[in-house]
Amino acid sequence: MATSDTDQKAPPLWQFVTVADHYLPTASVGAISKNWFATWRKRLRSNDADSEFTNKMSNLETLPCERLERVAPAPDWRDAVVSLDGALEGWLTDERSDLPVVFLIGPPHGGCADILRRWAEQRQWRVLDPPAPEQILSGDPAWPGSPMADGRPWVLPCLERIYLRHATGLGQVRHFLQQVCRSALGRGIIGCDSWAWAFLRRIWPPGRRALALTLQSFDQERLTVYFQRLAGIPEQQLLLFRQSNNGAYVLPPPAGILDESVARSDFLRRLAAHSRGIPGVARAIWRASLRTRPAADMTGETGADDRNPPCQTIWIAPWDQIEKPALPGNAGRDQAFVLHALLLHGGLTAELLGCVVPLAPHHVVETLALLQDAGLVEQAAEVWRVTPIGYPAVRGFLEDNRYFSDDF
Amino acid sequence: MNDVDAVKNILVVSQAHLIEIGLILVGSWLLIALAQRLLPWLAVRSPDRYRHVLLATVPVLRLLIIAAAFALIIPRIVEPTFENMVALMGMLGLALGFAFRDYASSLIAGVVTLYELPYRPGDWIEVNGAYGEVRSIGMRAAEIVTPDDTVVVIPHLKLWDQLIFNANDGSPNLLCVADYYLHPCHDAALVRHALYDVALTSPFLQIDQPIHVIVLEKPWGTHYRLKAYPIHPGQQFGFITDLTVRGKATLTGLGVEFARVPTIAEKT
Repeated sequence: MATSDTDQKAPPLWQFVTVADHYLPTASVGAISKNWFATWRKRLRSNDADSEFTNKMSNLETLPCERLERVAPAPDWRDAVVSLDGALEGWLTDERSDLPVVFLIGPPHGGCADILRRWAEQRQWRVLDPPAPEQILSGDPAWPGSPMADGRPWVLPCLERIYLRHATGLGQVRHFLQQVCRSALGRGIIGCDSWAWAFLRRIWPPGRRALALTLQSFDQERLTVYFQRLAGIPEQQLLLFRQSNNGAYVLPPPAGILDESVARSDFLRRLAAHSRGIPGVARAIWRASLRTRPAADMTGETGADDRNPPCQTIWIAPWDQIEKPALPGNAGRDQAFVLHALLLHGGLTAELLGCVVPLAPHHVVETLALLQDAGLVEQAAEVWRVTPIGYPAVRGFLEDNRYFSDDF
Repeated sequence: MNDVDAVKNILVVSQAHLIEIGLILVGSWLLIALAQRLLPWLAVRSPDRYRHVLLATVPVLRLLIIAAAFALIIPRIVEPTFENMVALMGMLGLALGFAFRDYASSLIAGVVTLYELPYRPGDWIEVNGAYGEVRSIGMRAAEIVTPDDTVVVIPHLKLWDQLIFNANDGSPNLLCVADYYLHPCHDAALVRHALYDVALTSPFLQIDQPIHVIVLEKPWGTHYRLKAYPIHPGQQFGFITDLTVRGKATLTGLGVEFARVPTIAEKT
């Protein structure tokens, strides 16, 4: 059952392309200007910006956790795995030895590692476990063992887990990539975070002997389909997503409910540009924007809500009112070192972070606490990572300070 | 006689004028002495944030008192006619011209620096042994801040005959060098690769710029020079420190021995 004409014309949601064919979603000129002024206003006003956001947010209600998990749950990657299978079909059926390995590059929170793991389970390919940090620093030749022994092809979901940006932490990844290049390990697929890829290319230029794929970015159209599918539209529930300050449709309304007098919001276009088309980042911001009741200026307005069939309305906070973490005004070298290291390695424990940045252990802990308070990093199972909602701010901060970044 | 008459026509000094001039001089001397004693006394007893301001006003006040005294004395000595004033200004200009010769040279050199750009704000330069970052460029001189946070004022006229070393020349690329002095008995290829990785894995590294390891054999051992670029020129010292600390740790882990210079105590 089609909800609107959007689904009929929608591009494939999960599309794997070569790295050269990847493009970033763009925002309108007006949105770019507003974003630029807002960024500089935050920098100049330092911590005062936090209180401004708090005051605005107190007038709106966020969705309860249970409802949030029904409307914007974590993706299950099934469709992505099918798409990846289709993209690899040519390589899988071609037994030529000049391309023994395919690289799957993905930005942070892009889901490529999870997609690759699910794909390996489905295809029953061997999944290589990363070595322990001690093995990395000592360059233990025992890893990865001998995958060729049983003749099975293999998958390494996270190449960033087998190196450390330490003077003695590159030997293992060099040795592994040299073996891959010599076809000594047989056929395999290597997943790699885009930041780690940007660094590892400097120590091992892949050249022509590697095919590198990536997930195409989620522009406005893909985000529309993505959020509709996450919300189970239209099979499971009829939901109307409208912007809380002007009632504009953020997602296309269900069939039969469309009111031509109601405008379409550019929220998803701004979201696509801000999140750089990364589905995990877009989903985190989307969840932060969902509300249960409109702002005061929408009170009393009637519209498509009153029509049959009945459907629930989810209100979307206006873009400027969504709390997006920002770097403290006095953020400097130490914060940049910690954030850059976390991105290059896809997350690190505090102990390993102390090995790769020239900061004292207590200083590392203090810096992490400061960044956690700002909503830029989070800890799970002792591993610190950049938060999905904080990733755009972190990336912008590092780029502005001339730290090398990825191409996504 | 005509010359004497001419001088007599310029200088009009009566007995009353002499007394007035004397009083002006004594008064100026007293004011200056008072300022030189009172203001430092006040500065010692004032909060720290006012101390430097009060001390800085002493020479300024002295100059103002002297200028005021001259302004009061001159009309009592010289009859202020147009011809007299022209002659007086001419003599004054001649004296000032010789005195401010170097100042004028600096001003002209300052103009030359605008289009030759031997240095600009943000550059790290070395002039006459003073190394630091150019903070500002004025009409007469440039100010640099040394790594020890000392401000050095360099007159632009140094441009004419001094060597000016510019480490980054308006760009964000500033080459840093970390030196290592090793005992001659070691695997040089291994050390060279290890030092390359030391630079490659530094968070300070500007990764798009090349890394070089220069090896020089000396009579006492082997001198390694690790050359790389930090992200910001201002991070050069942190970068060199990081390379040195991690380089020493890495080389120690490889079992490489560092060169030693025998001390006098050891010799005796």
